[in-house]
Amino acid sequence: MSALEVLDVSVMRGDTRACKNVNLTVGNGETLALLGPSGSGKTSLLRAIAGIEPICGGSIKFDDIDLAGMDVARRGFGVMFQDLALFPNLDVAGNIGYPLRVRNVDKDQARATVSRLLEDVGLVGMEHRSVGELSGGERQRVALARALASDPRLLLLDEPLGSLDRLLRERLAVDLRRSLSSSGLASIVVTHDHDEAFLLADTVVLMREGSVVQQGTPADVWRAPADEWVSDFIGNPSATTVERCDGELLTPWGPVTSPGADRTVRLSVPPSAVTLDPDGEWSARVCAVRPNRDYLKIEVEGTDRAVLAVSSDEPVAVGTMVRLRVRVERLVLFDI
Amino acid sequence: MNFRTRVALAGLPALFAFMFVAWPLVAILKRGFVIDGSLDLGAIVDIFGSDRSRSLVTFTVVQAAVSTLATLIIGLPAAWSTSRPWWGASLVRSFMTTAFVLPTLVMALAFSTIFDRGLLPIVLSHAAFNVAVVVRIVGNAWAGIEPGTGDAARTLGASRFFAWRTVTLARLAPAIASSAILTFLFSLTSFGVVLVLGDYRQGTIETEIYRLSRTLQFDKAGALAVVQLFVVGAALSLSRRFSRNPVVDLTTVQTRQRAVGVVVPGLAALMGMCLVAIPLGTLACQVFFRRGQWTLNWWRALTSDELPLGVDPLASLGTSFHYAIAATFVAVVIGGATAFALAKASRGLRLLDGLLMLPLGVSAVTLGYGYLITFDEAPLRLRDFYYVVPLAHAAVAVPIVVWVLTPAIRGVAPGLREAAATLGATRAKVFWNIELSLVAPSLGVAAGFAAAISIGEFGATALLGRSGTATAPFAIGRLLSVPGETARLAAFGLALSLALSTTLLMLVIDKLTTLGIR
Repeated sequence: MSALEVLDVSVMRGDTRACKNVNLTVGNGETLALLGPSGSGKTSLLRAIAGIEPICGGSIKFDDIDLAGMDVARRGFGVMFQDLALFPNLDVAGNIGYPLRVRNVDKDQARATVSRLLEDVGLVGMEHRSVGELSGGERQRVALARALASDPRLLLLDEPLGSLDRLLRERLAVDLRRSLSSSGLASIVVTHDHDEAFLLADTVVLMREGSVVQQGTPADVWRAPADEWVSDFIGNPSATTVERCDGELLTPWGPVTSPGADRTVRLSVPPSAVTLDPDGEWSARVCAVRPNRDYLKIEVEGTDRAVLAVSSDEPVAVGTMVRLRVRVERLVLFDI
Repeated sequence: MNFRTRVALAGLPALFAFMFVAWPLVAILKRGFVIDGSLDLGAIVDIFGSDRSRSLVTFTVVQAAVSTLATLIIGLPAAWSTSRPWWGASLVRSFMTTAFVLPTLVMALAFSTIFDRGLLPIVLSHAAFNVAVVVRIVGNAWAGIEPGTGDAARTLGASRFFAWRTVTLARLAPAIASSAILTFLFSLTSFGVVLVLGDYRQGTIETEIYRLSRTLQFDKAGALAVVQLFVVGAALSLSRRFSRNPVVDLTTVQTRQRAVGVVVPGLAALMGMCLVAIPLGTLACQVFFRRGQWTLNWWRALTSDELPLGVDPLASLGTSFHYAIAATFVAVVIGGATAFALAKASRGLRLLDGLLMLPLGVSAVTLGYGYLITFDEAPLRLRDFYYVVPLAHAAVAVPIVVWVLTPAIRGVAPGLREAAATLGATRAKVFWNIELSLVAPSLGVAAGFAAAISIGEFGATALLGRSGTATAPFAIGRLLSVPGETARLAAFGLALSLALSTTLLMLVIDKLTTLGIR
């Protein structure tokens, strides 16, 4: 059964509708990622669920109880804000223990809870540090611990790995994934980073200009982006226009089997769809070789200078002709 | 700037601080405690023995406390309104700052057009001055609070009030304490306001020191000055428990608060604005508008030959401007050198800072009295020196100059200095081309404040001034002490000219602030 149900919800931001008729559900123990570029309305939706922004249409239910009119403080949702919103006048323990102080939890018990939470997020012994002197990653962890300290029914995380550098993001993302699954809570993560969304979430909801454009598991979204915009946004190479003729696509790199009616379609070829293979059906000229962490990224061009990226373990000289094997099921096609 | 340069830079301010702050104050203490070469607490004990003196001290403290309370009541809503983004925020800020530097006699005269002498007008005009202190200190602190922290507290289960108390109020508390302490000090040492608006029988320590000095009872005045120093010292040391050194950041911070429209902030600021605008408006009406028509009588009064002997209003305005230029020059040089030397804190230099900040707390009248007894004998018989008045003005203005300049100097990115140095600039060139030019607008602002303070200063002037060196406030003081409609009208006219000059200065400052920094 779903814990959180968002039904046909719209949210105003100033004079514009930041969210338009959004529907989504999150079950217990499930993590949902709201993915979209900035200004797509994902933060507004999150704040509406938290009860900070009012909704102007639809309804939000938790455990089948409508949240309309329920005060922010009584919803019991743990929120981690984009700017973290740590209290600068309180130290680490004061921040994490704030929800316990609100509930008049016994001092010793609160102290124990805080140190357990600090242990969970890997900040043992940092109780009395001022939040101003923490590093970005540490601040992030304090914010997470504080959100968890309120013993929430639902976790709402707004860009939880927001401003961190890449190395730290990757490390913290793994930690966060573990925290989320071990908590057994329903959670929503807002992010603009598709890798982060796919890593953290069981379900991904793509938002564009206030509307949901696709929702599904990460694998579904990877395999079949709903449209070209989604495909671009999740990092697929830009599409080219190709003709389908007698069950074959006539691509700039060569023909490939593709059942369906004769028509013009748009084609995006993710790197995972092609491999270098002397017996491959496509041929193209190598125009650039770029080293990546553990493979080489080879860029090849077909007719019309249409460029395609392939990964390879072996170096290839620029200017040589290569043949490519295509995995048809990985090609991404859109109707025009 | 390395340590050695900073110490060298601190030399001139140190000399100034010694000559014109430390020495006069030590002289006061010596005069109060040492009689005929031996320690004698008789004069001080006498003070506490007499009913009159006891009630004097009590009244001084009580009126300061009530003034502080009134200032907070009126100032906090105004501070809140300036922390919100709306078009009036900067207007309220500039308006209240102008009120802050308005000559004390002008404000006092303005209130005297509405109220009879008594505690109420004293408290209200102290509030009119010091609302600016609350607006600046608390307003800036309020503007810096991220609204997200309030939301965060709410999502963590806090009620509206609990969230406000633990997040907003907890962070405002030091700022409120700082502004209350400063207001208390300013009210404690206020002179012109009490002289004009106070009950004839009920003065404060300040007015009593003035009365005693004027009637040449220097020993009694000295004992009272010592008491004044102790009261101020006690207030300051008490304040240390609640807050750091109170500092008014005269730059304006970018607000992070959410907009709440115009009506509510407008209403919140209204009380503070009216408190200043209504009395000044009444004063202007009384000067320009008589018996239902416009009049130039005030101008005739200024040049009238019915005025008391030795009072020439127009000449005194000239003297005021002349002194303002001199005082500004000294204050900017001394305050500027101090601010640059103190840009990075170090212990010895902090002592200098503390010394130069003393005139903020010590009253101008006490300082003036100190000058009277210190510079009384050869070789430093400065009492007769034509420029002794602007020197006292400078001593009073230096703290404000340091307030204005310090954040600006600290705001110069260290990277800029290093970048200039890697491009081959010598240290002197870096200072001249980079630091000084970046700080230039703030220097202008500081100079404006110094000039405004000098133009309006009355406490030290009242003690040190003579007919030959009469400034406009001094002349107003003289005019108020004689009966007659012409003298009164001349005083009003002179007060308005002063108010106008100060306002013009503040307009220039406002332009400079928007031109340059942050």
